[in-house]
Amino acid sequence: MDATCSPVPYGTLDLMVLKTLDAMGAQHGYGIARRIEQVADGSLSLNQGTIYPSLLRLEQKGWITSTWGTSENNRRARFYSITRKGRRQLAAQAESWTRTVAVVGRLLGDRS
Amino acid sequence: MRDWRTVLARGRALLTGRRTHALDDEIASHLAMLTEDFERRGLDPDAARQAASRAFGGTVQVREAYRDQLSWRWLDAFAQDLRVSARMLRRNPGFTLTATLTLALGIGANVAIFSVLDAVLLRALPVSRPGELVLLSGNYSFAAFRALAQSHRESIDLLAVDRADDLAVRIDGTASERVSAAFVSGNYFSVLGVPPAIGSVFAADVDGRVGSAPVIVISDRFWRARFGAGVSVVGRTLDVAGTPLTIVGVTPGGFFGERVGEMPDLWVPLSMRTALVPGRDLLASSGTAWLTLMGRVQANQSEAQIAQELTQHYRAVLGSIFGTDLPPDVKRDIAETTISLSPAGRGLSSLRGRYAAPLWVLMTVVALILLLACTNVANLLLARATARRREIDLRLALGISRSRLIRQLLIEAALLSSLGAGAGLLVAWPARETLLKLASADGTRVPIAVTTDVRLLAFVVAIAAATTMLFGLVPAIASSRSGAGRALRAPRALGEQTAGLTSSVLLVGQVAIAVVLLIGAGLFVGTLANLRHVDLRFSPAGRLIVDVDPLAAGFHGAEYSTLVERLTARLSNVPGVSVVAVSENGALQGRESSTDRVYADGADRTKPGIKAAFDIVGARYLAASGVPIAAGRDLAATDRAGSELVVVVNESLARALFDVQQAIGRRMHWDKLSLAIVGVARDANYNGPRGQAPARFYLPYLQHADRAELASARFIVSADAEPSSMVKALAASVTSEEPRLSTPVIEVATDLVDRTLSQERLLARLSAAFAAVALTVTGIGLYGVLAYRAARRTAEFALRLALGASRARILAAFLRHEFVLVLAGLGLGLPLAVLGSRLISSLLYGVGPTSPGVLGVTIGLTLMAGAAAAIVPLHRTGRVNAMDALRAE
Repeated sequence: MDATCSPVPYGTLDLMVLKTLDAMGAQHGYGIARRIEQVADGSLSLNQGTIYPSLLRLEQKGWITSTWGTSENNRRARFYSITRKGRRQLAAQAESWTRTVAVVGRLLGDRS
Repeated sequence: MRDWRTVLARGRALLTGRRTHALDDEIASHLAMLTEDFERRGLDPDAARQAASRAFGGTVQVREAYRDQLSWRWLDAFAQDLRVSARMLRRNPGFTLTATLTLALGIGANVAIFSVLDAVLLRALPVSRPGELVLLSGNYSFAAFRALAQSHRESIDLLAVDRADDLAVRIDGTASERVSAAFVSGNYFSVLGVPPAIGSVFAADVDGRVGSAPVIVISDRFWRARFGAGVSVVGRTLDVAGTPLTIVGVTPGGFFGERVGEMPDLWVPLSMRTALVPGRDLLASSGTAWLTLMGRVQANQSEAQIAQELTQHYRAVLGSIFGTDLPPDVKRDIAETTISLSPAGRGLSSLRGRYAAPLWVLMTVVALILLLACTNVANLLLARATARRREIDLRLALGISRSRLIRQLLIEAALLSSLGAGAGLLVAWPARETLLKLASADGTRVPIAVTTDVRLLAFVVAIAAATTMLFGLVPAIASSRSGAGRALRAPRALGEQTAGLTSSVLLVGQVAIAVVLLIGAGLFVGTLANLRHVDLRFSPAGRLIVDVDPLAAGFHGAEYSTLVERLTARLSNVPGVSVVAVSENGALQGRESSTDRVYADGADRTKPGIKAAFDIVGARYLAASGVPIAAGRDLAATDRAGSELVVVVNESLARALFDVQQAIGRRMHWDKLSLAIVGVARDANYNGPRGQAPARFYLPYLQHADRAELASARFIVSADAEPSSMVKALAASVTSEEPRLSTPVIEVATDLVDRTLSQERLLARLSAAFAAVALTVTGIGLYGVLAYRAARRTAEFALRLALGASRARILAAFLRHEFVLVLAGLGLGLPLAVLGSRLISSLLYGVGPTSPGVLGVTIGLTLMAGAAAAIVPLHRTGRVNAMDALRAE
């Protein structure tokens, strides 16, 4: 891991998982983790295991659902997919995230 | 506290176990895919595995976080609610105790009545596929049973049973005891599909030859009570009525035979009956129909078709039994005989007919009691919720969600109903045993297998859940409706109207239920009182019935009739006795002989005859039993063999025969006999106050030599002394006159009359008890609400007092409100009671809901309860003074 690699900011993993599922359709845990790492392209230090509590949290809120299935290389895996409620939530959170980032960006920009 | 934590931890482990196992699978497959990826990128397997586990992170931490996520949120919230609720209940012990007791009473009574109702009316026999069992109408001779059973095997498997009887049983030479024994055909157990718990049941060919199978199967109960549940019981020999019989097996625990309300301890093959039971050899008597037939319908067979085939065959069988040389009326009877099938999966029962209606009535009563209990607790909760309003408002203001608040209040209600259900189950057990004792005619427990089974538990759980919903939801919704801002406003704002109205409605409902139950109790108590005063048209007072069994002691023929003469004379000499006469059926014991072949002299005998009951009796029978003579004479000692055949008829029969009251000197025909009517007796109702007095005739015992061996000899004794004081002397005189006889069963006639009223007494007692409970519970409810309102309005009263209102006017205004509630309850309850009483009219006698007595007592008691409930709150209000207004704020 190189020096530019930062930890996942608190509370953003759920949003990333939701977005991944929204973009890619049903995925198992490994697929989601791999996708997030690909997109981050080495700039994020993700312990892949931490996505499981996140998946459970999302499922308990009713934003995603899961079923058991078989992976592309014939392994038993649990496949997660986003629900309609999850999509609405994603839209709302994404918007709020963009606003927050903009505000934080402006604040930091002022100082520099 | 520590207990809670332990329970919580266990519960969590239980709930989360499966999902965390699934997580392990998920992690394993994740790691495998990750490893494969690294291998594809060129790492060797070991290095790939290490890289994968680095990328994944610590599995222990993941699992920990996962488990926390899985359990904490809702379980923790639930546990917290539970703790809060338990604390609330503990903090108000008076409230908790009242509510628990009220609910325990309601639930306990419901479980008790339901378990009996279930056993008597609803539950299927504990046999295999009870739905296939049918009962054949009528009774059959042994010969007819064999003929029918053999030729219809493809469509129906027939079995035969005789009523259970008490037999003298001796085990290993101990003193003999009376044990209930049932005579059954050899295929009884195999057709019912009851496997033995130990040993074997009868082989199907066990009654191939009469007297060839000295074997018995014993009940689980008998096995435990008499043999200490020892396994070596099979092969042991019992002395049953003088004949040694070998035990071949024990039935399973729940099995009680085919009749609900009877529990035989021995099952004996039918073919052994002649050897064990003295008297007429019923097995050989092909003309006597005495067996009950049941059958298992084979798969894919139509019951209508089977019934038709059986009918055709049975007519042929009867024809061959009775021959062709028959009077026309008998021929017609045979040609008209039909067999119908009725479902028998729930067993046969005489209890069912007798107790079905009373049990449903009681079930309704206890359901109302439960409703009342729930309403009462709802009102208590509501009053408390209003008192807790500030606390609730504060919690709402602090951010507790409304759903969470409702959930917490519901959990509190559920906790209360669980307490109530638990305590109710404790109450139910003794209540049910008491009920079964009250229901029997003679104070012994009705022998019914009442088991606490899954259905009963389900019933309790259902009641507890319904209770929770009923009394938990109303206050929960009412109190959560307040806005969060109210806590900050004046504490006595006018927000209590909703709760006040709800509690008023609940109170009116309570009064109405109490009124319905009071009217019901009044009806049943009135019915019992009326029946006690019914004129039976004979006098049971001062009379006893001495039941002797000469056949069991081996008396037959001439010896039998001599014995009857000797006993009549001996009993007449007992001090205090005035008249004694023998009879076959006695009185008030539900025994009756009947015929439909009575004809007036000269009547057309191809037409149906007159139906009449009859009894074979000794000289001076009418005098002995206290039946007045309307015309002619009583039967006399001179009516004996050789003299003219005579008969005494009652007024109903005299009317049916000749349309005139003056039947003396004319003749009637019965069977093949022509009889001279020498007396007309008044209609007497031997079957008790509820029975009918049918056409009846009395034949002199000594003129009917063919029937000289009465099935039983029942001596009616008319005494000058107090009957119950004579029982010992009469019993002693019988056994000293003839030592071979066993001690006779002696009944006081007035006790027998009482016993025919056992169902009415049961209903009267229980409905009165439940009405008293209902009134008390309602009174407590009224008191609680009044006291609470009085306290809330102290300030207002004080203020009005200070402004010059008179004390009397304030009290009157306060009372008026309560009075309106009670009157509304009466207004609602009375019409409901009138409607409801239509459903039970068949159980009533000479009384209706609008009878002045019933109505007056109900209204009086309701008003009294209302007044009693008002005394204390009124007294307190009366002492209010102006200073209280200031203090209250």
